[in-house]
Amino acid sequence: MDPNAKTFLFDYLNTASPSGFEMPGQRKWASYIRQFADTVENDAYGNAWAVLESKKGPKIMLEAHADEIGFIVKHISKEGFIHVDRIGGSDHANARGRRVVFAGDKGPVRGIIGNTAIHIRDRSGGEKAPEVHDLYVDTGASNDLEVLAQGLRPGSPGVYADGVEDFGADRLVGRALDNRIGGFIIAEVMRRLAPLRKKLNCTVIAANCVQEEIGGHGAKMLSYRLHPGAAICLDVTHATDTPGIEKAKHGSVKLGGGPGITHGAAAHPLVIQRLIKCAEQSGQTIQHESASRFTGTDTDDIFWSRGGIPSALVSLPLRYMHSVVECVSLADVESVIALLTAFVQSVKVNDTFSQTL
Amino acid sequence: MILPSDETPERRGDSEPDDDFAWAAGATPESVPPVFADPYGTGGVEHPAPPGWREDLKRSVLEALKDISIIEDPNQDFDPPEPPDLFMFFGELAALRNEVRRGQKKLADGVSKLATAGGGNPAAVDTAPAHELVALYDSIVAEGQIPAAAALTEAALIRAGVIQIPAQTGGAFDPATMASVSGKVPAKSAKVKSVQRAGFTWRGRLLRPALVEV
Repeated sequence: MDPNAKTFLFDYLNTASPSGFEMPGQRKWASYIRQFADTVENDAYGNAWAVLESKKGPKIMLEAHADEIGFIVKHISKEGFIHVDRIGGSDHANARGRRVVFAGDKGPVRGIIGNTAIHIRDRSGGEKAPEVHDLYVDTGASNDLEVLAQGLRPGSPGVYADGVEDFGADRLVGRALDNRIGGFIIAEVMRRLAPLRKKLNCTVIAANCVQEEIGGHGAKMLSYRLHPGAAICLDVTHATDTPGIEKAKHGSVKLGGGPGITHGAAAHPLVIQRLIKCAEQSGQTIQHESASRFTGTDTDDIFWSRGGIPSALVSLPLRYMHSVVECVSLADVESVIALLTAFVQSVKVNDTFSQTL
Repeated sequence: MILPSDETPERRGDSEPDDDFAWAAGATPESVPPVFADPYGTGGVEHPAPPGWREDLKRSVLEALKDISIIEDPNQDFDPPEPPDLFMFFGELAALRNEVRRGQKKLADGVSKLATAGGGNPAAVDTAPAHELVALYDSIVAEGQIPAAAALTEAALIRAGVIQIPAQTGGAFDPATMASVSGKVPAKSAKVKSVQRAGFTWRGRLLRPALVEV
């Protein structure tokens, strides 16, 4: 991986940007991608997009989401403990004993999610995972006034404090790879396309959308605003090659097995066909996935906009989703970048991806 | 990738109210106000139903049925009662449906809690969920308003092991499981004249005695 790209990736991943509070990450993303784009813009809610303009052909949108899961302060007790609610699908089952960091009004505030010692915990009825309202955060304050003095109040967002690190020969592990790795990938695609721009037959938009983890709201806003001719949504997918996952129920996806391409639901047959052709021509291995009703990604919010935008979902296999040890293969990251780059290069001036009777 | 339970109904293509989402967010049935439907597609406004709406609805439906039933001459032109406000009617219907759905959710939770209550330790058994089921029985089965809901409730009681005390008219009075309406302790040979309120046991425990007249 290019050293500058890797520096950006680690910095970007370590920047807390929970849903609804994405601007710190968005500013870093915009600052990085600006060098490969004609324009970089954002809207009121923080959706950001970079454009490689072309005077001919359709607009192709490569989309990822910029937000991550987290917590939000719900209540501060008299004793100075903070009770939280989830932002998105934070896994509260394994939250106890973890470090968190809140975006306080006076700067970051570190905290720990309290964990009653195993010695004195009531385990007589068999232990159950705590509900989110059972969790409490200790920020080192002795009472509620001290918490307020730290700059925290109901509504302060937070994330787990875990960062990203290299893992094994070819992997990354960390928090928020879902889906800031997607923002990195579309930026890398732009980096590779920028020198080839004269040969492109389309305008390329790299869109980094907000609020996916709480309902795909950013993608709704941006697909309406930009009205692309086709869209490729990039998100992570569950790698199911670890113990205890029933493949009959969740499908078979291998970490390191290449990009996942989803069939069904929002996925447009002709866009999928083109992606498969691009993969075949470049000798890339892909993995097939199915969606019977919805994909659980921004694709669901893009495809029906403005009378229908031909869309596809390309997924990066990821282990341990929504935990602090999300894990991806760098070989897969490279494959996804190559596939998306090849797709954009394959677009012809008159491509509409419209099906005919 | 979004957690499936965080999907909005619209995004799932599911127009049904998302009870799971409301429950996952920590809301209780009492704290979720009924929502008026939006039959005209104007975007809708959420606001709680007025107090006593259920009784008002029941009364107006019964009055309408009564008006219809007193028409004796079929040749006489039918003079319909004042038509109900459709917007209100649909809203109240939706609210009633939500109420039933929440009742079902409460039932399922009660059964689930009972199934795991105490973890095999009799001393740790909490009878609160069983009492909740009995309260539901009182509000649904005893009133007999919605037969389908009553059957569901009775099935849930059986699944949860909540057993109705077999008090029958003409049967012997059992002081261990029955109480007299009069408050007096009847003679040993007393017979049950009528059953005023059903009684229940759970796991051999008396949840409440059957209230009988002797």
